[in-house]
Amino acid sequence: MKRIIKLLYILLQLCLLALSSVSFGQESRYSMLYRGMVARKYADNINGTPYWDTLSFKPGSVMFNGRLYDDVLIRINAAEGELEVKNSKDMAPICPDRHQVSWFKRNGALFVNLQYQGIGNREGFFELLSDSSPALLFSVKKILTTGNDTEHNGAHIGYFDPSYNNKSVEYFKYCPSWWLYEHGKIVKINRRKAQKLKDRLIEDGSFSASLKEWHPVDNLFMETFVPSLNKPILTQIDSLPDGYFSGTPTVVSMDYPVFAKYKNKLYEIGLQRDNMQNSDLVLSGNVVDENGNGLSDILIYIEGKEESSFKSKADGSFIAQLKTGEYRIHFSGEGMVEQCIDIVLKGSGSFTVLLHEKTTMLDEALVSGERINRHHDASLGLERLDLRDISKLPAIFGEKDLFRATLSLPGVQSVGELSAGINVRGGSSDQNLVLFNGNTIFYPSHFFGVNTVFNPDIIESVDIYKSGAIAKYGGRASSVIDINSRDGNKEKVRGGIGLGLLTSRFYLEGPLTRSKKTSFLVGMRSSYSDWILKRLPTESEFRGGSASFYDMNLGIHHKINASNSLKLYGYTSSDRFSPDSLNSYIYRNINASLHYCHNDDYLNYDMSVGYDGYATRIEQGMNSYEWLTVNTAVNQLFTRGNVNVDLNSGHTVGGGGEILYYYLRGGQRKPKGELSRITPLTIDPKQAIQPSLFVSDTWSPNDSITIEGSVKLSGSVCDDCFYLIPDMRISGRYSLDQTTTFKVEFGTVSQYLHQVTNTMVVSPVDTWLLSDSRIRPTKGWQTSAGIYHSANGAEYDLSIEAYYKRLNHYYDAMSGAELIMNKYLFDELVATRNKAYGVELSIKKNKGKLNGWISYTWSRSLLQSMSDNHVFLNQGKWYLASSDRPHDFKLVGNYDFTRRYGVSFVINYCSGHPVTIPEGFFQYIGGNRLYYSSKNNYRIPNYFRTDIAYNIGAGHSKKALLHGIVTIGCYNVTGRKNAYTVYWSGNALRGYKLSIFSMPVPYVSIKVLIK
Amino acid sequence: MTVSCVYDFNADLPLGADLPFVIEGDIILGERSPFNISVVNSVAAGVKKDYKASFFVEDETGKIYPSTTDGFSDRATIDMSTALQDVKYRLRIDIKHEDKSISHYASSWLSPEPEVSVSYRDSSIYRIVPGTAGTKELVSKRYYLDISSPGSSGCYCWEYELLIKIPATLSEPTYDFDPISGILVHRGYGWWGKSVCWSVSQPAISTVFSAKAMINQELKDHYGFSIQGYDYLRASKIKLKVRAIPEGAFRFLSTINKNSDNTGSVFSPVPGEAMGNIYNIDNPSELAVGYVSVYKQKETLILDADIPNNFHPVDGYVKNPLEGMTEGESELQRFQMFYEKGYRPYDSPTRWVPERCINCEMLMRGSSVYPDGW
Repeated sequence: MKRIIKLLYILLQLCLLALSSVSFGQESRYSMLYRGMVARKYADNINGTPYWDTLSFKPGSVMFNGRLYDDVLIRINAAEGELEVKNSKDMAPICPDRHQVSWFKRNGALFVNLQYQGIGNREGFFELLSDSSPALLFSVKKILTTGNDTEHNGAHIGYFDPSYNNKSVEYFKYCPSWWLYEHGKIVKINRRKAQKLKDRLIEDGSFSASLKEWHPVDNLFMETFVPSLNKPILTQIDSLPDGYFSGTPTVVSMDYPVFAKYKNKLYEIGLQRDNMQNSDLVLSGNVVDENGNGLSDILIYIEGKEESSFKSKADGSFIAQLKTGEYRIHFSGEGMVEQCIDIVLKGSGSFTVLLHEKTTMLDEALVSGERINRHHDASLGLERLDLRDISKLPAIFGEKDLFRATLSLPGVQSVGELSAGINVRGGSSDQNLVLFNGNTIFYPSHFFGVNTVFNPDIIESVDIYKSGAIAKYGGRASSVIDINSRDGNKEKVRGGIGLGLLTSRFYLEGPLTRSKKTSFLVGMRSSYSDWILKRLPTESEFRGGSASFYDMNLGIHHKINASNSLKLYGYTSSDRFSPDSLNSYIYRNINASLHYCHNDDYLNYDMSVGYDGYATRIEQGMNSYEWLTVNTAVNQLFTRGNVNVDLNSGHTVGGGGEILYYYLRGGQRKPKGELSRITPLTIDPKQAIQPSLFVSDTWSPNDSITIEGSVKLSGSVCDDCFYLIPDMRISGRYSLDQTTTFKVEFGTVSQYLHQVTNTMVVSPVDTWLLSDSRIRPTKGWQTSAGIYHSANGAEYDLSIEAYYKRLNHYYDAMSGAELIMNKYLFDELVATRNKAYGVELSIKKNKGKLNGWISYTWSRSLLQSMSDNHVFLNQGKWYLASSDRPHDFKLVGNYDFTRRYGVSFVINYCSGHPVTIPEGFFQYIGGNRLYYSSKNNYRIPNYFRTDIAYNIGAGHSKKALLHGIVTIGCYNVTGRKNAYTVYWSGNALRGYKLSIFSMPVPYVSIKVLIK
Repeated sequence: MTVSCVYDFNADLPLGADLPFVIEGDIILGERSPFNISVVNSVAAGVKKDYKASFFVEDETGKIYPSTTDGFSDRATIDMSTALQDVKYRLRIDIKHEDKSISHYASSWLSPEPEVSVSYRDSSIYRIVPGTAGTKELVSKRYYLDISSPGSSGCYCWEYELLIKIPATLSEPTYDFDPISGILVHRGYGWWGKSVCWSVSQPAISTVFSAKAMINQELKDHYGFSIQGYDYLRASKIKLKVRAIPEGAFRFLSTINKNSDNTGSVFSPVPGEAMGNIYNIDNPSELAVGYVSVYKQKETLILDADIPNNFHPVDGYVKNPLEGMTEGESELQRFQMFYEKGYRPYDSPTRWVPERCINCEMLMRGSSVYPDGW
């Protein structure tokens, strides 16, 4: 199996390289020098590096196959004896055929290939240290060997490794050697002799003499030597920068890696040289965690003479071209404590930055990545939730809910308090694609909406795309909510337990193998609402009923190597609610998927296959004769792949596709019990294959402009028809400077899967439908524009986004429609067109003890019957969609008294949702009946709620086994009796308002982390 | 801890909205079919216009079945005793305002629904009377129905009539009218006459049920209705009426039931338009509220008891100083006046005979609930 995977990987690499060279080839990038194999990457758990000196690439030139290549970024792999080159910081390193490299210059130092020159048989490259006769050469060999040194922090490996891991047994041993060349012969000398020779050369000035320009003649060894930079190769750096304890600036005047671990220090990078003032220097480095693992996607924001922002690569490395000067560099990533380093850049150099995990933080600050993102890419409507912020926010019953936390974002509204669905920019809840580790979750709520199905302890990221026109995630018209769980910890086993009023949960993670390449993460959550129901008052209609749910997660992550990994995910959730012995509602999600991912500087792609299932079961009856069960199911098999290729700096091409196979069991009714006289009935299952292909292109001609575009072709082959719909999206960014950005976007969307409902909120047993010859795909378009501004040194982010979208063939249910077990469901539906528009304003304070955001959204969403089946709601006039809530104000804040203690609060005010209410009454068959207004002609009262929470964070001790996190909070502090819905009773003709939480709801939540 | 609650809610409704006509009634083959027409009462405005309407039924052969009376002033009745089973019918309504014809409504053409066959069983629920040595008391009588109708839509509708013959005697007091205080001064009782008060009780809502999911679309031992033990023991007649109805009628009736019985629960269906089958001929998109069905109704007499007229004196009279009273006015006339105007006496040292129990024979109607203390 392993061989097959490896073979597939190699084939894929070759195909992609061939494809990219044919389709997207650029002469400079794909010239002969760069036609080698992609440089090897090494596992994270090996101490030291395989490289000659640093991880960083340095500029230089290469004589390759008789041709001189300038402006090449070079690194030397001393373990393989290979030269690694690339022509831009974004490009993946390539190993050109070393037998065709006669010499190269790297950062001024000259390296020669003696074998190429016909001198001896020793492979590899030698650095020329002097132009004397005899010439002094220097070579480094790194040998992968085993053995660890827990007491001396890796002194035995021969050089300083800032990421030295005491538990790793493999390391790259440093083996320097010195050589003399004279009279056509090369002789190895020992270190002492080399030192003497060096001293002599220094005395007579030949070692540091001014260089004569060297003009090598191919196949001839140089007659005059070019001295290298006087790199102090024999010196090592201590583990702590000098002056750390004294508080004075630390100056590291060497071109060696700096291990930047401490804040408020000044690190000096590189050596000051003449004529460097305005030249481009290369600042490179690595971002690592406490285990020395490279951290990808860390946002790096450079302030100073020049400003730029970018993310760390998959292995944690980064590279930037800067001029000399002072800079402040911010490193921030989700779940990590932000690090801020001040440097003085005097020459090219590199450094490694250690970021701590948030739970054992020494410092804390909010992520400002969103700000950087918004100035960096052309996407509109993308919101990334900061999980640390969310964990602080008040939550009903203390049940942290990442999915519901999206409601704190502008443009996202709840269908109803504690209901399952959300409305994004006026769309219906079925127009949101909810992905969990790439799997589709069809009903993301427990207990009809009290809780969502995602265990908050295992979640790594929550992204919401408020524009549905995302080629990669197509298939829904309004939004994509992409939720991902963490990979398990590869170093040690750890876990956590959470105790809440309704549920308890735990998770456990850790390595599965000794090699620490494979890790697992399991999580489980269960309710004890059965226990609560049994304690309800006697008069409660639910006393004696049962309600329970659970969910389980499994994730296995296997790191094949630094660039490739396999992920296996499994998920299941189940809910059961039985108000009495005859009636039950049961619904389950089950998902499984396998992902293969490749990430490197140049290319990233992922492929996945999986299964998503959602099944419901209703048991109901008034008596034993009418007792029945109804089962429905949505089954989805999928395979999808995406690839992104960095063509050069600022130009990325992507593509991909997916094939979805749906099998919808529309319903199976069966009698239950021996007495039941219910006739079995099966609604014919529906199936469809929905393939799609897309290509995308992102092009940034300069730092100010980015243009993104994608074209997608999707289809649906169902039982009686075939659809083929092209979609496109184009967006653009123009940044006035690093703080102000304009964006515009236009995209079309299509959706082949529909959910129809006629209840107030989204029900777990609502019917899913596939497009067929009668139910047509939902199609539409959306355009949006936005202005983003960062102020006061990124402390504040201001944004304004406006959108307008139109959709056709959104299906609304007729009054009194029977949606379950209906063979002729189409006759119960009314096709509508939807128009929605709005403006979203947001001000976010990113830093300081008081941080948070304020948002205000003005939006409208209207529907109008189409004439597909000649049935018109509201006499064919425009009417308000249930999601139409014109005004929505949100204030979310955190105030940190200390790093551990703080308060959080949420204030939400929004318009009530539209309802249909009685305008009159009439007598009919002996009773008062209500005459209802035009559809959705009125609104329930406006909504206002304030929540507050006092948070006690985890302790700072890294050695403590247990860390407790306690939240004491109150939901709806003001006790406002917000209307969930209003309704009328026919006999009394009185209006009533149902309020779910009509009083303050205090809670305590405890979470225990096991480190 | 229960945190959810229900509160009163008043909506701000616009005034003066034009609301549709309501047409109630079915074409019942073999019987006199009653029809009502009214206008939806506006919650906000409550303005009623003076309409008149004439009804008639026509069949596809062109035969006309006229109504006897004006639909707005009283219930219109159309004699369908000679109607045939296998032709289509439709109801026609002409509406006039100030003697001008303003609109013409008609139902769609309808085929008669097949007749149903009905049987029932009952069960009695008793309780032990507290403080007695096992004395049982009837709490309620429940009726379970078997209904079938081959060839029908499988949708059924039933209702029952409960006739309670409550013996009562209204004792007319003698009194003097005090012009200074403006009140009637009770002088004692006198025997004026004896009346029997009948209370006719029936459920406010006809029950509808779809048996489409059942074997042969038959209802088997389906719970139909129940009668309180107190009523059952005084009942003189219980009559069950069952018919098959079209699926559209089932949906219409279900919708208006759901609209009126919304419990406000999380998964309550959203109230909406009840789509009837009566439309304005001049503007077919303008629908009246109502659904006309054609069927032959099955009546089953569940109980037919002969209850004698046992007269019991009732201490009931009225004092209403606000209204005053003219000399010679009988108490029954007073009751009738109160009943029709909906007035209530106040601060009365004597018992008020509620409007629900007036001389039913005199007023030609009964009431749906029994009087307090009876």
